[in-house]
Amino acid sequence: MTMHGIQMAPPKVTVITSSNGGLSTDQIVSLALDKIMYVSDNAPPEIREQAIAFRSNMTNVLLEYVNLARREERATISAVLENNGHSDVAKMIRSI
Amino acid sequence: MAPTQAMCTSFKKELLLGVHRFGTNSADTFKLALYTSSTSIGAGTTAFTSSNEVSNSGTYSSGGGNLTGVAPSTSSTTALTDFANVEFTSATITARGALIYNSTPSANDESGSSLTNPAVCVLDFSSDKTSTSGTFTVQFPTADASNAIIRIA
Repeated sequence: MTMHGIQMAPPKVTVITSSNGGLSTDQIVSLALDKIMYVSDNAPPEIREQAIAFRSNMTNVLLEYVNLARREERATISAVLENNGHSDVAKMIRSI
Repeated sequence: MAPTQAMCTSFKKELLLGVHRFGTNSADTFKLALYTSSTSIGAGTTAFTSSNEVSNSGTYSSGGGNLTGVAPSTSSTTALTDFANVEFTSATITARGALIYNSTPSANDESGSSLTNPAVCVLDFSSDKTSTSGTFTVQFPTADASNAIIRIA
């Protein structure tokens, strides 16, 4: 007799933490890449190699643009602070 | 002690009772609470408990954070759903695991009694994870038939 079963088991989650501040650009890029693509351990070697090479290229692109986003956000915050008479704080933000 | 990763047994029964509504349309509110290594939550956990929960810090407060769900879908013969990552900022936390639970269940139990914060699943981080005046992020796996956080296969 064939049994029909329902299988449920939660997979492992990833936990990333930081100290004395928010996540680094590398950590954010790693989080994004894990959502964008998953390289199976069981993939054929040639496909796996291509996927890993693609991931490497994606890493460089994301690093550049996440860093750009962080710089631009700081620039916007600095401008708001500067325009409201907080030049000293604006300078601190820019220097991060 | 440590948490034991599992889908809670009570959750499986409650699925049959229509207690849990996932997704984005009139969905229940699901939350994630963090626990220290002293906890013994596991398959037998039926509801949220503050026992051995991590202390309030930064944006983390007792009960944990809300999870943003996505619409349930299917992949081949597997049904699945997912949550957006959850993060607690400016927090000093050491956690060994987590409990996902439903703070607004859609139905009562089979006897008609209301359920309070019924448990969904327990997550074991394998080791203590620590943030110090920083960010504590829990990222859920890829939402596919093999890896999604909640799957019925």
